Amino acid sequence: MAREFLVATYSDANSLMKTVETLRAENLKIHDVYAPYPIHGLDQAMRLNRTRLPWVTLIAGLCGCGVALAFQFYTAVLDWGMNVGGKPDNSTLAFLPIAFELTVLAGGLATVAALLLRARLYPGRRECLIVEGVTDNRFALVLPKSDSPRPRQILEQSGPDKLEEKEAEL
Amino acid sequence: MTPNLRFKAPALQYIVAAVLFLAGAGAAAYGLTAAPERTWLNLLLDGFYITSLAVSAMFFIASQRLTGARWSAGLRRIPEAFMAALPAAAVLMMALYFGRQWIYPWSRPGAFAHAPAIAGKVQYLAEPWVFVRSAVALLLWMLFAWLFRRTSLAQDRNPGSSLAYHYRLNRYAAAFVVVFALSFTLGSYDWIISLDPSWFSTMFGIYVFAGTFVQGLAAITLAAVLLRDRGFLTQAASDHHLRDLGKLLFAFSTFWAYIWTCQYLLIWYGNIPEEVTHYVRRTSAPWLPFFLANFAVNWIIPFAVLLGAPVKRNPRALKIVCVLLLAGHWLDLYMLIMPSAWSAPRFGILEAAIFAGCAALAYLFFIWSLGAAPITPVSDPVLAAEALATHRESVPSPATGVEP
Repeated sequence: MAREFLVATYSDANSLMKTVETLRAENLKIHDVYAPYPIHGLDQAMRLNRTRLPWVTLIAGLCGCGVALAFQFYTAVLDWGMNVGGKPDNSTLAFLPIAFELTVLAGGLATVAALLLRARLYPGRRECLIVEGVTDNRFALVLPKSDSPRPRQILEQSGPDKLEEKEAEL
Repeated sequence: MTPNLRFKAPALQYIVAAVLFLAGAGAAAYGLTAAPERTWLNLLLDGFYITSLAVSAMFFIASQRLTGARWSAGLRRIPEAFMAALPAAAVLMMALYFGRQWIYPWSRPGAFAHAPAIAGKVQYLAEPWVFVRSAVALLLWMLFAWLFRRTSLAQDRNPGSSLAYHYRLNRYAAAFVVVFALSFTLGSYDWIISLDPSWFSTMFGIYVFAGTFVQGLAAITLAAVLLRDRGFLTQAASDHHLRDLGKLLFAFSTFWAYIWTCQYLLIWYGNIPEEVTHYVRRTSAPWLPFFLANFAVNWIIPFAVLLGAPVKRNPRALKIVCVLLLAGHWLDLYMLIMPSAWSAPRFGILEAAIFAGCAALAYLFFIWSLGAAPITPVSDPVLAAEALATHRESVPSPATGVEP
């Protein structure tokens, strides 16, 4: 559903950072910031919550590890005991490389999948650039439209290249 | 804070370090007559310890330059000061020539006569050849240390051509890593693996290197934190920098564990008699506690401690982990060297005194070198560029632990 936003466009990261800090110092809401590259310290300036993505990695990694150990234990010990080089059937140390690889594989794939799903970046997704050039050399600061005049005032004072109201599906 | 602040160690530190060094030298001199084998092994262990500290500091400089890292530019003087001990360490390593027959089985007459299993190594382990290799490796490292330091100081003096010096240092770094990879591998074989000529491991060089780099990182981090506590490097060792150093410690401690596991797992799995001797001896009763402690101290504890983000920028936690890792590398080398000659571990005044002497020697060179130049490079183009990125200074202090 389309909503209305207040969009300020800048040509450098510094003015963007300063504006973000001013807004957050007054506890005003920021919808999102669009920049062509990651800006150091922006997450802190926006006071974003810590990402929950590591939990996905941890749980998926543990699952991968468990599956690998269980499968190897089942095949090499329970189902058909195998004598390799005279070692005991349950030579867990020998299971570790595969357990390690599956931990990394499951953790990595699940992290990427969770990120793409959460960011709604699935195949066939229609692009929605709020401003032309945010993937090139522009920086956009997007605020939800509000009744208070204060956000607009701050944006005007920050000297953006352009300040506009836009309706968009973000 | 002026950028060209000079570090000056209190006179007491020089005196204490000098006394410790003399005590170590005295203990070594006494030990050479009373227990020559034990003393030579300790001289090898501690000589290699300070050699590896110096070369891993050089590797740190080179790796930072080759990856184009800008964050560590302001910390450069610390690794530069660690490499100052290299000439003294080289003298110690070359002095092993006089103790070779006590510790290296291959240097004893007729060592290869009744050992067909190692007969193929007779040319490689020929005495002159081994020590010429050592000398060449040490001379090359000293040459690069001299080039790194000289160019770095020349950059301070000539702001006009700082960029030219910057690129020259990058070229030296590229040449150094190639030389280092080959010479350090040969060095680790000649100095350590040849204590037990019948054993071999093709990944021994990288194993020693992994521990060495952790040692260097731990020393650099510890120095950065301590200098910061004393009011130096407040910008170059900010919370962000500590966190980056913490990440490197975490990563390379884990790299060491990875290499450790690879070597152990392959030898355990292959179960070939001439390969397993190394581990059979080290996992037998008197050595086993130290074998396990080695893995715990060098990986399990640092991994558990450094896992979280906030702890990586906690100076106190970093100090503890760094000291632990520095002790851990000593233990790692101890477990590589001593079991080849002894049937049970020995820790006594001799071990403590010789280690203290060598560490004090390295420390003397460190504080002398650190005080010999401005503690932050004066006209580094990277630092100048960083200073322009003003938005970083205005970042509010991190309260949420968000990835910067």
